Formats: sequence, C-alpha cells, structure tokens
Amino acid sequence: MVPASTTDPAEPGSPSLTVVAAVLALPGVDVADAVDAVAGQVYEVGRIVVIGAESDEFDSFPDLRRFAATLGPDTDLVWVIHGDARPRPDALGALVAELVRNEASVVGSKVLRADREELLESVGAATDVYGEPYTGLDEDEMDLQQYDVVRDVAFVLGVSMLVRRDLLRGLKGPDELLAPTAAGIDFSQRARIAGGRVMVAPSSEVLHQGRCRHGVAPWREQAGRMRAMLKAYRLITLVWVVPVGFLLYLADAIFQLLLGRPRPLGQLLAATAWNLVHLPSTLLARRALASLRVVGDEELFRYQVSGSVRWRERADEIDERFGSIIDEETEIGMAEPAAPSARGPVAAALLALVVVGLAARGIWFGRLPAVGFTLPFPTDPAAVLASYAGGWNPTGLGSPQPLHPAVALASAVKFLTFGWDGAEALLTAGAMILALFGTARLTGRLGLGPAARYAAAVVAVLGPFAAAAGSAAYWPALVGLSGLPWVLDAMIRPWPSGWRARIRRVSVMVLGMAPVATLVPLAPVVVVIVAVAGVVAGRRRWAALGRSLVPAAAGVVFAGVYLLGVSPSVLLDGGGPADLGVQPVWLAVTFGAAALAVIRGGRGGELAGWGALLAGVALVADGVPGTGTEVAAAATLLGSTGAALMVGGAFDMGAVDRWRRFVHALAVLAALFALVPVAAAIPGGRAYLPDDVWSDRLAFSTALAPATGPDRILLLGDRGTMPGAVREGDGFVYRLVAGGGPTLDEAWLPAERVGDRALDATLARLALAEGVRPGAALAPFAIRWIVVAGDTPFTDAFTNQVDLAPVPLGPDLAVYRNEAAEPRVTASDGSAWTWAYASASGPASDGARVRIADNADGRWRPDWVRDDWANSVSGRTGEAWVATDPLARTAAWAALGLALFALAGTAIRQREEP
Amino acid sequence: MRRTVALIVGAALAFAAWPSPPPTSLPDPVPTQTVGQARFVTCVARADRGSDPLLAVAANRSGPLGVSVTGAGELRPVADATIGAAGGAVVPLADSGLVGFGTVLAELPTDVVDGAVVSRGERGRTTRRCLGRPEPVMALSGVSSLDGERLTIVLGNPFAADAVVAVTGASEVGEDSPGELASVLVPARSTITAELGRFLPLREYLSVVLTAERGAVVGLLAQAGDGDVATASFASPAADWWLTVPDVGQQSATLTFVSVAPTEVEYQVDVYEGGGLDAGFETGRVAPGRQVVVDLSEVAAPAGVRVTATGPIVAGLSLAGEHLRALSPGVNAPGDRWLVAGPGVGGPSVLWVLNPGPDALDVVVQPVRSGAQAQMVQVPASTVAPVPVTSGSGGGYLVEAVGDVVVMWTFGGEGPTGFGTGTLLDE
Repeated sequence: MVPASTTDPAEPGSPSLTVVAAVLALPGVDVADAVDAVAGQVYEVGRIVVIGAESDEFDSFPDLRRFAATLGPDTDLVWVIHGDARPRPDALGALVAELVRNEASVVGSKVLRADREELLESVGAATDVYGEPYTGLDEDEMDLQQYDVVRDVAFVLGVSMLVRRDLLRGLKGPDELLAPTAAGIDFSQRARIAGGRVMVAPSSEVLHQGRCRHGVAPWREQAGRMRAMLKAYRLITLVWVVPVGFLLYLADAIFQLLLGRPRPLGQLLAATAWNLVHLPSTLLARRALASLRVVGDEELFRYQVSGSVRWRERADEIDERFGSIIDEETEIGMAEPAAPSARGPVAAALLALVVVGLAARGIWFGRLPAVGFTLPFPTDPAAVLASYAGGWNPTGLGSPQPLHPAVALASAVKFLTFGWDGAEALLTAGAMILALFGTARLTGRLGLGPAARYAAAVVAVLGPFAAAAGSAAYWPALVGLSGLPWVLDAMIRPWPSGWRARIRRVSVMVLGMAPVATLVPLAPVVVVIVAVAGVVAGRRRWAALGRSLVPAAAGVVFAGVYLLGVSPSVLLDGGGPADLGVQPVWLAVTFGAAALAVIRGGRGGELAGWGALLAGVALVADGVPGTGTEVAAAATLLGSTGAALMVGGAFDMGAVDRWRRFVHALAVLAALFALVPVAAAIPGGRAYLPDDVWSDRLAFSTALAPATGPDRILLLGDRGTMPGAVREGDGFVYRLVAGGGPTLDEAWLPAERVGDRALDATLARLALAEGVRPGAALAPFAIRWIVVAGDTPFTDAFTNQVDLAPVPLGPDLAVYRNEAAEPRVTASDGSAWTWAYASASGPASDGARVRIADNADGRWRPDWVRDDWANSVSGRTGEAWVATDPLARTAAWAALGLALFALAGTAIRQREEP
Repeated sequence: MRRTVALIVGAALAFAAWPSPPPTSLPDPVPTQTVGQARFVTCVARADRGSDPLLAVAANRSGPLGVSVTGAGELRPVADATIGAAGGAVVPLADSGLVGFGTVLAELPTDVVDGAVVSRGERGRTTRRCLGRPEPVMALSGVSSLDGERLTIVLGNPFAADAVVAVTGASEVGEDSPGELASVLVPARSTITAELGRFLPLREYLSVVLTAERGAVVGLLAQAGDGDVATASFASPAADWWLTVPDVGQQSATLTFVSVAPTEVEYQVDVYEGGGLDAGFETGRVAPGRQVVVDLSEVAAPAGVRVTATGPIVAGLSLAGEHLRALSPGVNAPGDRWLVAGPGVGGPSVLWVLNPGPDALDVVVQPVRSGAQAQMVQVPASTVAPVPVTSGSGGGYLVEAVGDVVVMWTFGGEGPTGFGTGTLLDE
C-alpha cells in the first residue's frame, strides 16, 4: 500500500517512490525521443523498460501484462507512456504528487498535440453508459488552462498514466486486444471497480504525436468499448445496457445510412461480430474482474454523462444541417437581402412547424380519416403495384385503365414500411413538412426575410387552396405540394458549372418531381407555368424556361403509366368536379391588386403581385366548366405556390411612397385573407379534412364473407358521403367497392364500360320497384352487400323485396345482405374459385368455364370469351389472369429507373457551387 | 415590358373570371322517374283441414307465374305456374305448407293484374283480394265487434325485412285505437293474427287503419258472426270511392269511411238508385282519424254509392242480414275494362256491374280461360245488374263495356257471401 503523505513527494526530503517507466513501442515509431524525455524527468525514474519491441539499452517485454508480472515490492509505481509521447520534464513529478496527495490509483497527464502544442487532445474524459467517450473538448480547442483542475474522471488515455504497481499487477495491465482509447476506458473502469481512483493531473503535460491511432479502424474502438462494457458492468446493468445500446447505435447507423454514410452500420456489425468471436475471453476477463470487485456500477455511473454521446452528436449535426437549410445564404437578386429578423430563422421555422403541427395533429399523431379521396392505403401493396404496371384495375367492375399513380406511390410506401398502419400518416406528415420547409427555402432564395418566408410557407401548406383541397378530402393535392417548392428552388438557382453539380441539380429536380407528378399528374404543367411567370417577371432568363422542361418531362415519365392509359377527357374532367368556391368579385379584386402591385409595388410588391396572378390563374383554371379533380389538384398546387409568394411578398414590402403604401395595404389585406383559413384549421386538427366516414364501417363484409371472398359492396346515397368518385343514376349516386371497405386504390373510378352500363340499367329498373327480387338482379355483378347512406329512390324497392336481408349494424347505415349473391368468380362445374385482387384461381378443370364478373376485356386469359358484359375463360389451368400491357409495364419500369437514377444522382458529392 | 404584361394578364384573367359564377358543389341528381307499377301481388290466405285455397289470377298477358308462401320465417316457392294465353291462372295452395293464416306472394310478368285467394271449406267459400305494392297507410272500414261478432285482424309480411305497424281505429266513440297494438312487429316472412274484438269490443261500426312505421305488410280483417264470415283486405286511401250494392238479400246496407288525412276533409256521398242518381245524398266534414257512417237502409233499391272527398279516405260497404255478413272496400274509379280475379273459381259466382252513367250500357263478360264463351248483358243507367257466371273461369273474368262501369262479384248459390272487386285496366 502506498503510504499516504502530506508532503509533496517531489519535494526534497519527502519519501521517494520508485517509479518504473514502461515505454510502449508503436509500429514505425522510434521510442528514443520518448525514452530521452522519460530519462530527463525531474522526478527520477527508477528504471525504464520498453514494451512491445526489442531494445539493446533497456529491458524489454512483449506486453504490459508480462512486464507487470515481474514487478516486485521494490517498485511502487509504473508510469505507462506511449512511444510517440514526449512528457515535459516535470510531468512525472506532477503525476506522483497528485497520486500520493489524492490516494489515487491511476493518474493521467494532460495530453497536448505534439504538432501544435497549444491544442488540447485530452484532459481526462467521461463516457456515457454505453462507453462512448466524451472529452468535452471542442475541435482544436486551445489549452488556456481552463481544464486545469485535478479531478476524478471516467478514464484517462493510456498515452501517459501513472499506475500503482499492485493495481497494475492485479489488473494484468491494459487489455492488449483493445484499440488505444478503448483500452484506456477499459483499464480505468477496471481500476475503479477494483476500488481505485482514476484521476487526471493537468499539471502533468505530455505532447503526443497521435501515431498510436494510425491504422486503427474505428470499428476496433467501438468493439473495444463494447468489450469494456461487457467486462465492467454487472449483469443487472448489462440486461438493459446491451440491448438499448445496440438499438441506439443501430438507429444511428440507419440514420447515417439515410444521409449517405453506410460505414457506421458496417462498423456496428463488425464490432458486434468481433465481440461475439471474443466472447469467451471476455467472459474470462469478466470473471477475473469479479474477484477484484470492490464497488458497484454506481461508482462508474458517477463519472458518466447522461444520455447518449452518439445521439447528442447527431442532434448537433441535425441542428447544423437545419440551420444551413433555413438560413440559406445564397439568394437570387429578386430583392435586396431582407433585413435580418430579430427572432431569426430558427424561431420562425419552429413557430411555423408548431402551427402546421397543431393544424394537422389529428393526422400526424392519429390517422387519416377515411372520406372522399382520403382513404387507407391498399392492404396488398405488392398486388396493387403489379396491377398498376400493366395489369388489371379491379376498381368497380374492373377495367384495363390503369390505377391512379397516387395509388402506386401509396402502395410503394406501404410496401417499404412492411404494411405499417401509420404509413398514411407518415407520408402525409412528411409531405407537409417538406412542403413547409421547401417553400421557406424557395421564398428565402427570392430574398424574403425569415418571418415573411415562413408566413408564406404556412399559407402554402394551410392556405385557401389547401383548405379547398382538404375540405373536398382530396388527399393527393394536399401532399402533392411536398416536392414542388424543392423543384422550383432547384430551377431558379444559378446553374452550376461543374458536371457533377449539374447532375446533382438535375437529380434533385427530377427526384422532387416524383411525388408531385404521381400525386398530381398535371403537375408538369404547373412547373412550366411557374417558369413562364418567372421569365415574364424578368427574374430569370429564357434558359430557365428550358430547364423547367427537365422536371416537367420527368413528371410525365413518373405519371407515364397513367397518362398513357387514360383519355384526355378522363384526365381533364374525370373524377368529378372540385371547385375552390371563390366569388368572381374577389377574383377581380385580386387581379386588379396584383397588377397594381406588379406595376407600382416595388420589388416585394412585384413578388406579391406575381404570386397573386399565379393564384388567379389557378382559380380561373379550376373554374373552367367541365374540369375535374385532376385540374383542380393542379390548380391547388399552382394556387398554393402563388398564394405563398403573395403573402411572403406582402409581408416583406417596404412602403416608401404613397403608391407603394397603398399597394402594401392591399397586399397585406390579401395576405391576411389568405391566412384566415390557417386559423380555421387549428381547431379541427385534421388540416381541413372532413370527419371520418368509412374507417371500419364496412368491416362487417370481411367478417361475414363466405369462403370465396367478401365480393362487392354497392354503396348508394348522397354525393358527399361517398368514398372517392361516384357514378350517377337517376336521382342517386352510387359506386361499387371491394369487400372490406374502400381503400385508396378504389378512389378513382375508371371510364364506364359495358358492365358499368349494364349495372346502371339494372339499378334504373330496380328503382321502379316493380319486382320483389332486387338481390337476384344484382347477383350477376357479384354484389353481396348493399349499403344505403342517405336518401335514395330505392326505398320502395328495398322495402317490398324478398331477397335482401336487412342487417342491423347501426342507425346511420341501412345495410342489406344479398341472399341471392353470386361470387365474383364462378365455375361452370361448381368448383370453388377465389378472387385475388386482379386475378382468380381455383381447381383446374379442362371442361369448366369460369365466369369473372368484371367488365368484358379480351386481355383475360386463358381462352377468353365474352359472356354478355362479363368475361368467361377456361378453367383448364386453374388460373385466370390478365395479360400484361407491355407499354404500361415499360413505362412503370422507366419511372422506377428514373427515380433510382435521380436518387443516386443526389448522392454525388458536389463541388463548390456558385 | 413585364409590367405591361402583368397588366394585360391581370385584366384578361379578371375578364375571364367575371362572367362565370364559380361552380358550387354539384347537387345530387334529382330523379326523373317515379316508382313503377308492381309486378307482384300479395294476399293473406288461410289453409285449414278440409279447406282448399286457390290463388286466382287474371292478367292482361300470359307468362310465367311464380307463387311463394310464408311459413316459419321462410318464403317457400309453391309452384311455377303459367298464366294462360287468355290471361288467367288458378294455383292450388292446399299442399303449399300453409297452416292457418299465411301470406301468398305471386310474381308476374306484368303489372296489370288482379288476384284473389278463394277458399272452399267446411263452412263454404271465402275470398280475399290480393293487392300490389303495400302502401305505408292502409285502412278498412265497416267492421263490427258487437256481441256475437268475432273480429280478427291478420297482418302478413312476405318480405325480407321486419315490419312495424301501428294499428289505430275509429268507431262511434270517435278515435278508438287499441294501445296494445300501437306498435306491432310483424317479422319478415311471417303472418300474425290478433283478436281485434278483444281490444275494441262492442263497437257497432269500426274502421281500422294500418300505418307501417317500418317495412310493409298486407292486412286482412275477418268478421265472423251469425253463421257467416266476412273478410276484406285493407286498401290504400284515395279521395274517390265507388261501391256497388248487390242485392244478396241483405237487410241492411251501411256505408262507412274513415279519414286518414292530416286535416279535416269535406265529403259528399252520391247514391245510385232506381235508375237515378241522388247526388249529395249526404255531405259533411270528417275530422282526421274519424269515421262517417251512412245508413243506406232507407234507400229503396240502392245500386251503388260514390264517395268523393277532399282528402284521402277509405270507404267500405257492409251488408248484414240473417246469416249474412259481407264487406267490400270498393274501387277508386269506374272504367270500361276490368280484370276480376276470383269469380268462377271453386264454384258459381255473380258479377255485379254498376252503370253509373245516364245511358244503358252493353257489357261483355269474358272468362280468362282460353276457348271460354263470353256473355253479353245490358245494364240500364244508374243500376246494378247481376251477371251469373259458372265455375271454370280459369281464374276470373275480363269485363268490357262501352262506357264506364264498376264491377264487383259475390259467390253464387248457397253459402257465405264473399265480396270481391277487380282491377281497372288503364287505356
């Protein structure tokens, strides 16, 4: 036991402790300098040994463990020092003094960089509970003696540490398997567990070349920290630290993977594998330490930082990235750079995020309501994707017309999230956040200040156009805005000079267009309109208009399957109308004010004016008689962008003369008018979306389905209650949905075909209520359920009838089970065939004909024959399918390939951009 | 330049936007067609030991005839018969599985049809008229629950949905509704009966109204007493009623009608007698839910009665005598072509043809059986002429006249006096 002393052992006359210096040789490092520095210490070293290399002058040992075994009572202390370190002459004396004074067992030196002696490398360090080191030092932090306090620490670097001989022998030295830093952590932890104090003596300074870290893979350090944790902690601590730590590091690795850094994942896996391989020796070392244990894990916790160091670094990185996004310095000279806001961009961003979050909290933290065109994602996304790419569209009575591309996007998200129920909310929330920050970025590039740009962003996401789309429950328009401002931002930025940067820019435009065009197929038109407006406004050259064709063309590719498969009339007027309901007088006022703002509003007023004009174009386009949901959705995108520019410009105008003050007032009025819906959205918390109507309401059809499947449900009622598009009858609207409830893939009804007309005629006859068997009349259409929501002319028909059994499921719906129902797929030999999204299967039979109650189409296989309005195929193969449309399949692959190419293109590291 | 462009664009957009008002949300489509005529008839039937119920159909075209009966919550097909070329069909119901009262549903290829169930039993023959699509409000007037009279109400529901019916009434005391029958559940595909006389005893003149709160039912009232049974089906309200008064040896003839209008109704009763018309025989007002009783006994030889009201009513004619009970709800308009189902089925019958016009009319009576002989009679003005017909009509008769007439029929020969009417063929 080292005797306690109240005097400084370095002082003359004090009891002298014998110190043996063990210089650790490193590959490629000449230890002579270190040896000379050790020999030149003021506090004399009793003996110098070299560890890990042969020496002619000094005793040498292969490792510290074997050296420690040779130590006898004539040695009190061992000074372990790296061969690439150069201690100052008084370093040892300071170590000895502090060790004696504090009755420590391990004392480390302050380590400075040998190449820049004023910079700190280590002054002792802490760790988190997972062993991640935390020095507390900034990068290239100067030594201003700000850390010169003798204190207990979690660990000291093995660069220079003074250890009691008995402790060194007992612990058998540092773990030779571990990388340098991990070895220091491990040794310090073991020392503390054995009852020793681990301290740092900043008065002992050592210059370190850092050669010991050369060639050490980061995963080795991570592996070493894992091993140190496994050796040190008790089992009760390991039970939670090991799994939690692994998950934390895994999450970090995945996060970094998303940022294009795959190495952390590989390091984690390698470190884990290394520990599994060395688990036997770890367990042996753990057992050895257990015999020395004097204190519990709490003694280790005392010197650890809370939380995770790794995730703290990640949070700092996110904060830094966030700041670089919202505080973009590069501006296009639309206006003089706005005067910096007193609150700054971060505060404005947070406030905008809070407003949008409040207005959409029911969606972000709950689920989307099932109403209108806002419906749950498909439950079999793989089948839907196959159907989209040239297969059969099973909506209604089926059609070769492709599904809407929004369905493909939703199915892809659902597929990639393994069918997670929160995929809808995730996509919606993500889209709104992207739209918010994208618009802020875009308006910031146009020269607006933080408050103005975030007001603009909130209007883009929650303004009158979004309000109209939300009230109509047209979900694709709400989330379609997500990528548009990023595309526009990439368009209006100065064109870079290097090919790498140009590829990356094009990739950003293309990738940003992917969600926009799939959700709103007419979005390419919007991009071109905005580009034209920019050119006319004089802000960009005609080349910018040409570059706008890139995302526009990409949008056409992304929506290509759909655009190839529908007629222009379906594209322009299909889906039913959706209007924005603005009175003409307000349009005229807006246009007048906009024109005036452009002419006399100054730079900010120009932006507001052009934004108002864009919004006006959207309103007029939407008001064209006969246009449908696609035009309305495109108008929503254009109008939201225009309204955002209008509001941003209005709030950032300077009023320097009478005309400009007048225009400013008009612009502010218009902006306030656009902001009113934002406040109206907050109480509901669903971003204007109506109440849920169809969630789980039709689940009975699955629960009560026969073995052949749930078949179809005929919905009758009012237009406002129907999910998605409807067909019109005489005095009623109706549509078919698949059993189980409407999903997004059923929202858009394809153009009418022969079977649809037959059903329409049947319903017209049923409404006359002449017969008593409406169920038998509807049976050929595979309608098993009739649901009536609202007033219809079928009251008499469904009262005086004998084959529709009422099912009492609640006061709001009248549900009838068709007792005469036939399955969607029937075989002439009576065998049981089942329907699977867009195909059918059953027992193979050469002589059987299989009737498929879908619109007749010659692509059905095998051996298709038309059966009135339906299909008849041979049952010889046991399968019934639709031959793939090669053009649609090619278009789908082209879209996917383009998206992947663009994704890869965004990862190209860019040079300096102008 | 750009400012000029902005001004032009703004003006153009304003011009484009101004004339067209923004489209509001599309309204729901408004129906352009009303409910059509029913291609089915329903009626209450009864099968007892020894009875032989027959469904008689007279239609304006031939075709398939699907007959089903209710029982134990099911609607069981009885027979797939065919309406002959002459438009008639008779379907035996004895082996249909009917036990006691049940409901018959006949599905037809046409909406121009008359149907009736004629039963032959130990106590003679009875007839019950079939109706098309049941109405939400139906009534029957002219029954009695005096001592010695047994009054049974039968409610039949052949459809797939349960029905809930409110049974209300009017009598000489005014509104007279049995509380126990304020909400009666008639399960799907079933028939229920109740002794109405137990709830409303000792009523000399009683009208019963059925109001379907949910679903649809067909109704029947059977009044048994003094050795005779009178049955009548509930009828839909109308503002105009024509009733023929046959001479079957009754000692009294009473017209009763009940108002189902929500407000007070004015009425006028015209009586055809002895070749003349006594217009305005009785006039007055009737309150909602009340009935009017008109004693026709004082009329020497009443041939027919017309009741005209300013609101919906249901009228009935009850004949009483020694061992005689008869009820008939009448028809809503005279016409020159009638299908009458029932006469000549299961035995001889008598067609009674009322000529309300000022001139005598020639009337041709043709059985709805292929190859059957027609007969022609002349009916003097404002009189009712009996036309005896034999059995074997094939289901009923087609009655055609050169002017508007009202047709009903009774059983001929000995036994209870059934009352039946027909269906007017539209032009």
